[in-house]
Amino acid sequence: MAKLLDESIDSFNIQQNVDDTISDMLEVLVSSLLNAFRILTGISDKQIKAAMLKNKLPVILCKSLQGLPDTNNACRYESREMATDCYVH
Amino acid sequence: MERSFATDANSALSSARAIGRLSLSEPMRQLINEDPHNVRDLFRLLVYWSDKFVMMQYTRQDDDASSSSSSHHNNNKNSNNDNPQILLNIILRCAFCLGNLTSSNDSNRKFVVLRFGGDNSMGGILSGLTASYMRENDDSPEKPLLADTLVKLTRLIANICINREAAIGLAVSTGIDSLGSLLMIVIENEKEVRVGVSEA
Repeated sequence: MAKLLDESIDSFNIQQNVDDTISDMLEVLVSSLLNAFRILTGISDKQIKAAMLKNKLPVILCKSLQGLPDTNNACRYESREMATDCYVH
Repeated sequence: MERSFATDANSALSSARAIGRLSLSEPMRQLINEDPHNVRDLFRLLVYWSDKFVMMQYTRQDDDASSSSSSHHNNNKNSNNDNPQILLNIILRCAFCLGNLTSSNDSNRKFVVLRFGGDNSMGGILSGLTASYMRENDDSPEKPLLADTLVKLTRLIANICINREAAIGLAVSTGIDSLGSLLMIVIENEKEVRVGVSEA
């Protein structure tokens, strides 16, 4: 599911065109992912989280937010290298 | 022209809901924190939809003044970009998400304010939403959602202010004094509740 989501978002980011099909698919995929936490699937919460971590699901979802405008030129940082310099984990 | 998946309200809400849920867990937050662009994009999402919501509220007021008979939003999927409840849900979840990401990571606090423009826009977002809250009638369906959104936004500001430099940046942000207005609303509401209890 994570792979499908990843490919759908990539496909959109390349085409840069809000396609209702992709939008609907994202909605369904995200609902399924959220429901996975709620519905008794026989898989434990820990296993679901492990699978999501392994597939880097949060990073895939964050990719869907790319391309938003920098309103009022608020963002003074664009280079990843600049950020990495002062980013402490 | 806006070219982002997140400019579609339904898609933005789906992503924000999912990231919000996942950001409750520290290992997931660590994954998001690996690339500061993720925090930047979340913050841009918050700014983008807050601007849309506040502008829409002003436009709606003008529409209300000129025509009271028209319906502002229908159930058509494509019109959800104009649905205030959907927009507020996006803003609420973005603020919640960023609140989680700034709760345990000091770099994110500095990033939001000092690098991603939080000092320019955070006060504006807060004052815009506070003004919307004050304008709404008590029976408006958006009022409780606006209150929840303001709670999440205040929590985000509180988390950011744990870092001294970020706190100083926010303190001089235009509109941040809306926190005082919010506090007055809370005090007034508290007084009304007390009067209601003593009269009963």
